[in-house]
Amino acid sequence: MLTLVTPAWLFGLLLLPVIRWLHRGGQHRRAVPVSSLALWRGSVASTPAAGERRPPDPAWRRRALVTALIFLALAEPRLSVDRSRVTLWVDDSLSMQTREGQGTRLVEGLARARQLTSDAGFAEVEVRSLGDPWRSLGALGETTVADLSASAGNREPTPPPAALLRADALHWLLTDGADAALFDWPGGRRPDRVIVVASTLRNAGLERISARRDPSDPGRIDLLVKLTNGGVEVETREVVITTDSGEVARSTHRIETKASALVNASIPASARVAVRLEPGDALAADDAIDLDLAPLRRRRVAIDSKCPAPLVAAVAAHPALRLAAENATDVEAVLDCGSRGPAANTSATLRVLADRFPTRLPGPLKWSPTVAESRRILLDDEPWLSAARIDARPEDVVLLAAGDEPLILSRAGNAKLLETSLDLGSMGASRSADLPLLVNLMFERVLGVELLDSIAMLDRGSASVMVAPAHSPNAAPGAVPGSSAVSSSNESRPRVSPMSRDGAWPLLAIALLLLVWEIVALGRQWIRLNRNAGSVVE
Amino acid sequence: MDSVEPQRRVGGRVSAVGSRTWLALALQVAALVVLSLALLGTAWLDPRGKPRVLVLVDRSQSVPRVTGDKALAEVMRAAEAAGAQELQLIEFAGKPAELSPESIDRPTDLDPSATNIEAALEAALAAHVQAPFASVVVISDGLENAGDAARALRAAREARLPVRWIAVGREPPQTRIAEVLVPDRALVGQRVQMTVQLAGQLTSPVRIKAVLRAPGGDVQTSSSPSNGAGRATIEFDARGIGPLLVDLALEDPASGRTIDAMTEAAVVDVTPRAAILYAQGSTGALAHSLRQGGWSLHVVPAARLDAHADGLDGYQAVVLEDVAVSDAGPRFWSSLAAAVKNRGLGLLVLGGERSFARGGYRGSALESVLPVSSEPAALDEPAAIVFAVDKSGSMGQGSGGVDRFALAQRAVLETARGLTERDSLGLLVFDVDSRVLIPMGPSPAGVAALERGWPVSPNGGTKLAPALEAAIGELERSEAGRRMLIVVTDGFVEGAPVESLRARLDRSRIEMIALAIGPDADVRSLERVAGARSGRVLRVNEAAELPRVMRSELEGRRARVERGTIAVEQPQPLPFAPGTWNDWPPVAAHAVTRSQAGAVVAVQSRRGEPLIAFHRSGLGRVVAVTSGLGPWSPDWLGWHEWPQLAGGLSTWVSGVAPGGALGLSVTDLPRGLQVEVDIPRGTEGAGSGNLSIAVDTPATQGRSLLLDAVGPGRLRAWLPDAGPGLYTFVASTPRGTQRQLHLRRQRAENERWGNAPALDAWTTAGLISAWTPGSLSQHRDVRAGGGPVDRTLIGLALALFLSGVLIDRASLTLAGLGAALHRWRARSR
Repeated sequence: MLTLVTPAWLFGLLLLPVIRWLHRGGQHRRAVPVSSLALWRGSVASTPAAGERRPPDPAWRRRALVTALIFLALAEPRLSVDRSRVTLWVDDSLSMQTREGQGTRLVEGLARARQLTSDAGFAEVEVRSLGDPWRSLGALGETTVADLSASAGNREPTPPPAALLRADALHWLLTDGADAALFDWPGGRRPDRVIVVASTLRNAGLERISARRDPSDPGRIDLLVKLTNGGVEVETREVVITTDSGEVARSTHRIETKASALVNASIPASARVAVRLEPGDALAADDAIDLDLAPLRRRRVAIDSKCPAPLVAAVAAHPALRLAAENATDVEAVLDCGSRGPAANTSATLRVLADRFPTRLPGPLKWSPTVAESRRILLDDEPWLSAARIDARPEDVVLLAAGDEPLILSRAGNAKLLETSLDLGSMGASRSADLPLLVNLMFERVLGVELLDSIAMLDRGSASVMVAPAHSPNAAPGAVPGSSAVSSSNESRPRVSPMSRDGAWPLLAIALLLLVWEIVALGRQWIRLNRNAGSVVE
Repeated sequence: MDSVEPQRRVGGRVSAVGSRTWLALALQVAALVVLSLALLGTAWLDPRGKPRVLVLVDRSQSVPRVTGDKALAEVMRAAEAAGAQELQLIEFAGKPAELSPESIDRPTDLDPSATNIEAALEAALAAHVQAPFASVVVISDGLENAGDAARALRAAREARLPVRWIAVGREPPQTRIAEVLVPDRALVGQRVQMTVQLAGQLTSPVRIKAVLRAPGGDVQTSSSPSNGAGRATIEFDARGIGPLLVDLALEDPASGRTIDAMTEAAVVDVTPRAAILYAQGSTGALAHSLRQGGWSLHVVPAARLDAHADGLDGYQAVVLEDVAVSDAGPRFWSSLAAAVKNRGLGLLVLGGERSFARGGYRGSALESVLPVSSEPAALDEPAAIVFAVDKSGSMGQGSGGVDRFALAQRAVLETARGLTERDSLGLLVFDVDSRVLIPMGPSPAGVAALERGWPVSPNGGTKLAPALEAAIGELERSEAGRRMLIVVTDGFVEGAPVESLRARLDRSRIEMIALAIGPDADVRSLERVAGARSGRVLRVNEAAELPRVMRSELEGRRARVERGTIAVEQPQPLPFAPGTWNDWPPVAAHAVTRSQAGAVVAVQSRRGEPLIAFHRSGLGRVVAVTSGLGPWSPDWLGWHEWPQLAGGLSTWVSGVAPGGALGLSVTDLPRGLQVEVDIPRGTEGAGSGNLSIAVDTPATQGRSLLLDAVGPGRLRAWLPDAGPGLYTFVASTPRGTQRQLHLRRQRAENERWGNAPALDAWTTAGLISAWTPGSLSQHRDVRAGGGPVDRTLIGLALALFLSGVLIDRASLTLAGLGAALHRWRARSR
C-alpha cells in the first residue's frame, strides 16, 4: 500500500503540460540521418506556414517523466511491506522446564515457534532469551534449543530492553505466562505474537534454602527451607533432607495454593546439604535443591604464640574460626602479636601491637562512620587499656579511637591488615564480655566476610515455582485480542503491523537514470549543432 | 551574397541554439550531481537530514554543576556549528529525568546522592528506539554507585548508538576531610568530643567548622583549627535528647572560603541520663556495679522511701533491693505503681530476706505491677502460733471509738483466718498476770473461738515476763515444725529476765514477733528478748496498721524461701543482648513466687520457680529477680557475664539504650537499606509473627517494613530507594522495642574525585569514544537508520533540471530579450 507524507507536492505535476507546450513545433533537435538530399530537390518544402501542426519534440516525454518522478519523490511516498525478520523472545525461567506432553514447555514451545515461522515463511529468525537478552542465540535450530534448555532457570527473565525492539523485525514472545511481568514491555510495546505453552497447572517447588550455624552447638547447622505451591491445587509433599552422611530429616507438609511453608531443621555439620520433594511433579527442576555450606566453614587462623591467652581463647571460642599453628600456611588469616615481621604479612592479618606499658585510654571510645551503626559494639571504656601508639596515615581508616588515639586501624594497601593497640590480654579485657565480639568484628573486617551470623542461602525467587499462567494471552498487556484461551501451545494471532519503507529513493533513482539519458541526448545535440554551425561559417 | 546571407543567418541561429543547449546541458549535469548527492545521503537544508544528538548530563553531587554546564554549553556550540537538527537533553543522577529539549536549569528530583549511568543510558536507548539519534554524548565523571554502566554501554553498541564521553571529574581539594570520629552516644548535657582527620596538604592551617543539628531544630556551631598533623578536636554539648547530626566544613581561616564540606558526616545519639532511685533494704552488689559503670544512682535507705513519694518524676527507674512493703507508707507504693503504669517508670525488684512474700508484697500496690505473684506458694509446714496480747489499761487508749486492744483483737482474728487446718493456735492475754483464753489447739477451732469474742477488757499494768513464760510453755507442748510467738504490747519490759527468756526461746526454737504499739513501747528490750536472728520487733506507730502488719509479717515469715545450691536454667531470652546464656551459676536462695499472666519467666530454677521474670505493666518495664543480686546469688557476682546481666537489667528497665533480645542490623546497599533481624533461638515462632519494624526516614515517619524469613531465626526487610540521611529503625515485639539509628551517608558522591578508571577500559573496549567538537560533524554525512532523502537537495535538482529544459526550449537570448524590451517600451509610449 502506498501513502504520501506530503501530497501537496503533487501539484507540481501541473507543470507537465507546460513542458509539453515548450516542446511544441519548432525544430526537432533530433538528428535524422539520410543518404542524400538530392532525392528531395524538386519537392515543395513543407513549412508550418502551410497550416500543418508539427508533432512536439519527443524529448518532452523524458523530461516530463523526470519532473513527475521528482515531484512524486518530494511527496514522500511510503510503501507498506511485510517484515520478514522475526526476533523470538524466549522466557527461559525455571518454570519453562515443566514437562508437558512430549517434552518441556521450552522444547514444545520452540518447536511450535519453528513451525509457525516456517508456515509464515519467515526466512530470518533470531532467538534471544529474556534471561540474557543482549546475547543473540542465533537462528532457531537444534543447538539453540539445547542451549536454552541447559540455561533455563539460571537467570531471572526480564522484559526485552527497548533498544533491542527494532522496528525492522517482528517480535514474538514464547512463554508459559506464569510471570505476568514478562508481558510488561518497555514503552507500552506489545509482542507481535505470543506463544503460550502451559497445560500443566500443578506444581510445588523448593523456592529457597538457607542455613546458618547453630549458635549453641557448633557441630550442627540450622536449615530453613521455603516450600511454595505454584499451582492451582492444594499439594502435599514430603521434604527430605540429606547431607554427605545420608538422609537426616524428613517431614510432610500440606501447602495451599499460592502459599508457602517454612520448614525448619537442624542437621549435623556437613559440606553440602540437599533437599528434595517427594513425590516429584512435572517441574522436576524445582523439586530438588543443593546448598554448598562452604561459606559457613570455620576459617583457619594462624595464631602467634606470643598472643595473650584471653585473645587466643576468644578466637578458639569463635564459632567461625579455627586455631592453626603459628607457621601454618593453609590459613585464611593470621593473628600476629609481634612474632611475625611486617614483611611476612602477605595474607589477611590482624596485628595486635604492644610496645609500651598498658595505659588507660586517653578519652571516650569513638567509632568511625565506616563501621555501620548496627555493627558497632557498645564498649565500656573501663576495662580497656592501650598498649601501643598507632600512627595513622591519611589513607588508612581508623575504625575505633579513644580521644585522638587510634585503637583499631585498617591499613591501606593490597593485603588486608588491621592493627590494634588495645591490650587484649589485660585483666579487664579478659573479663569483658565484649572481647569475643571485638575479636569477631576485627576478623570480619580482615577477612571481608560476615562471620558470626553468616547465612548460606540459595534463593530461586517466588516466580520460579509458579507454573500456572498468571495471564491469558488475551489479558496480557502484550497479547493480541481475539486469541484463544490458555491451553497447550496457545499462541495469539500475529499482529498486522507492516513496516513502511521509503518509496522516494527508487523514484529518484529512476529520475537519475533519465537525467543521464537527458544529458547524453543534450550532449549529442550540442555536438551536432556545434558541427553544423562550424560547417556553415567556415 | 544572397546565398551567403541566409547561410550566415542560419549559422547564427545554430550558434545561439548551441549556446542554449550547452547551458541546458550544464544545468542538467548540475541537477544530476545534486540528485546523486541527495541519494547518497548528503544533508543540506532539510532539517530531517541533520543529525539528532542526545546529551546525558550527570547532575550527581560528584560532578560540579559549573563543570557540567560548561561541558553542555560546549556541546551545544558544537552542535550549532555542525548544524545539528536537534539537541535533546536528559539530566540524570541516581535516576534519569524525562527527555527534554535544551533546558539546563529545570529543577528535577534526580536523587543527586547517587549516580546511575545505566539508567540514563537505558532512557537514551528507549528514546533512540522511538526516533534514532546520531549519537549520545555523556557528560559525567563515570563514578557510578548504582547500576552497571558497562552493561548499558554494550546495549548501546548493540543498538548502533555511538557514545561520546566528556569526562568532567572534579579535582580533589588541596586539603580535605578524611575521617570524622564521634562517640556513638552521649548523655544529655554531656560535653562531647569529636575528632576530624584531614588529608592532602596539611601544612597550611585550616579551620574545621561543625554544625550540629538536633531533631527539634536546635542548631549549634563549633569550630577548631587543625594541628600540624591535620587533626582537629571539636567539642560540643549534647543539649537535647535524640540523634544529633554533624555537618562539617573545612574553611580557610584567612578568607573564610569553604575548602571542603561533608554534610551529615556523623550522628551522635543523645540519651537522657539514666537517673535511678535505688532503695536499699540490704546491701547488695548491683548499686556498686552500676556506679562503676557510670550510672547515675540516687541511693536511699528503704526506710526513707516515703520522702520520694512525690519525687518519682525525676527518675527513669526505681530499684528496690530487698525492700519490704512496711518500709514505706501506702502513699509511696500508690505513687510508685501509678508512675510505672502511667509514666513508664522502670522498676527492678531484687529479692532478699525482706522482699516478696516476706516483705508483705501480697495484695499490695507494689505487687500489682510485678511480673510475679508474692502469694506464698506453700504453707505446707505446720506451725504452732501463740498470740500474746497486752490487755493493760494503756491498750484501752484509742480514737474514734476504736482502742488498741480492739485493733489487736481484729489483727489476731484476721491473722488466724490465714492459717491452714494443719496449723494450731493459742491465745493468752496479759497485764500483770497472764491468762490463757484459748489453749493450744487446731486452728479452725481457735478461729471459731476468736470469732465469739474475748471475755476480757483492758485494764491493769503490764508484766511481760510471766506472759512470755506461759506462752513459751504453750508452744513447747506443740510438736509443730515451726513455733511462733506473736506479742502485742505497748508497755515496758521491766524486771524481766531477758537473757533467760531469750535462751529459752532459742532452746525451744521459737520465733518471736513483737508488735510494739505507740511511742511508749519498750522496743529496745523487746529486741533483746526477740533476738536478731530469728525474732523481729516491729514498731506500729498507728494502731490502725496493726492488723495488716501482723498478718503480713506472719505470712512473710512463713513464706517459703528455697535455699541450698539451686541450679538455674533459662527457658526464655532476656530482653537485652545477648539475651541468652548457657552457663548460669547456681543461686543460694530465692523467694518462691508464681509468674503473673503475660509475664515472661526468662530464668528459673530447675523446679520451674521464677528467678528472673519481666513484663510491661502499663507503660513501664518491670523486672523481678527473686534471688536478688546479692547474698542469695553470690556466684552471679563473680560470673563473667555479670556486667552484661547487671547492665542489661538496668538498661532495659530504664529504657534508654537499644536493649532487646533482637539482633537488628542495617546494611547500606546501593539500591537501598537491608534490615535484618535475628530472633533468639527458641522464640522464632512467637517472635516472627509478632515482630514489626517501623522506620523513620528523612522523608516519612513510621513507615512499616515487610519482613521475610530468609534464614533460620533471621528475618529480612528491604527499604528500597533510600536516599541519604538519618534512618531510625524500631523493632517491636511484645517483649519491648529495640531502636537502631542508621546514617546513610553521601560518601560515594561527596568523597570521590577525578574520573572513573573504568572510562579508560570502556574506551579500550570500544564502548565509548572521547568527545571532540568535531565528532558531531562526523555524523553530518551519515543519517542514522537510513532517514529520508534531503528534500532541499531534491528541490534544487528539480529546479536545475527545469531551468535546463526551459533554456533549451525557450528562445531566450539577450538579443531577443532586448528586442522584446524595446517592443514593450515602444508599445507603452
